[in-house]
Amino acid sequence: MNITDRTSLTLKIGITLGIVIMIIGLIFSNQDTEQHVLWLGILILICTPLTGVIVTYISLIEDKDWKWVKITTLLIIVMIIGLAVSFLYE
Amino acid sequence: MDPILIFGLLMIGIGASIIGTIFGLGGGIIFIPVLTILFGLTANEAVAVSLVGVIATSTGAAAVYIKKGLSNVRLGLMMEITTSIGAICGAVMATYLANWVLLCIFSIMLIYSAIHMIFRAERITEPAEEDGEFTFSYVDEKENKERRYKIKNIKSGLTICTAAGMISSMTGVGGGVIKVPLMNIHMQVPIKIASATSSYMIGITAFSGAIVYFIHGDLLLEYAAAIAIGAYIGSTIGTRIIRHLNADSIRKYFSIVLLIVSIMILFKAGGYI
Repeated sequence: MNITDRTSLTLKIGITLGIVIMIIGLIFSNQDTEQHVLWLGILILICTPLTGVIVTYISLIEDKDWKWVKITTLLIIVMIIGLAVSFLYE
Repeated sequence: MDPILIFGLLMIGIGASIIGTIFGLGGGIIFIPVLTILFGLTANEAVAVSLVGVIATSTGAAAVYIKKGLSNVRLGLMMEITTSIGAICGAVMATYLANWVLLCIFSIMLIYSAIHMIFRAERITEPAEEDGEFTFSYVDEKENKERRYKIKNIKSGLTICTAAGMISSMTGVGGGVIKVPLMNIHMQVPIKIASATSSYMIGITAFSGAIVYFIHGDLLLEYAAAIAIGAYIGSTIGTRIIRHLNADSIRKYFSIVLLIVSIMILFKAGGYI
């Protein structure tokens, strides 16, 4: 499987899983479990784009595409700094 | 949660996501005013719910676009770096300019892009036979043929992206509306690739915002879930619609969307939204 297929598949699995769990959560409306189920579904959905980047990153390393490994490393560092700044300024 | 409320949120999610998926926008420009005005959410709650909707739109669209070669992952990753740097600078810097001034600048940039897209034809550089590093190809399903393109003006494009990220984080208006014309007009990326690549990038950008709200517990879970489910359905519809559109019509409709968004931003600048 090439990089695009892997990244695409990761996003598809992440969003499908997240959405299915959210639907289950909304069906179990007004029950204690609802909030926990929704919480899990939304967490999976939110983390899917990041998981996509990580899968692309691993695939680039496997392909020994060092130039793009460097570029993606830089992106991940910038994202971590961004997150740190967001938490500090909240 | 009231089923009518869920139904309303689903419909908003579907509608915003169809538009977002076709044009490479997140949908925040639709979600936020609708959630605050129609559903009575506070601005903070609306932003948090909207970010989840934006991620669902982006991820649903990108899963399909990447597979078809429409989202250019490499270009997206590269532009995401400078956009994020711009966004961080924007968040850290005290706003020296009044918000309405920034919003007006944003609006003028969009009006300029819209007029450019209406009156000038798309300029794509057909690459030479030998593969250069920034030469890519995709299959245009409408025309049923392979189209090749070479990305131009990469350095200046990335610099403008930093500025776009900065203005975007200072004003709270998403970056898609500026990244798509930037890629299409300045970097000579075909409109279908530009919008699909923007769709892919938006999810990565929104992740950082959404996770902060999520961890702080500021997210209305039922609202976010209903909007996300709607957005996922909308993205499935949007990725089907784009197959039947040619580049010229996407550019034409996109410029109309840009003009509408620029008017909405002017309303926001005036404090009406």
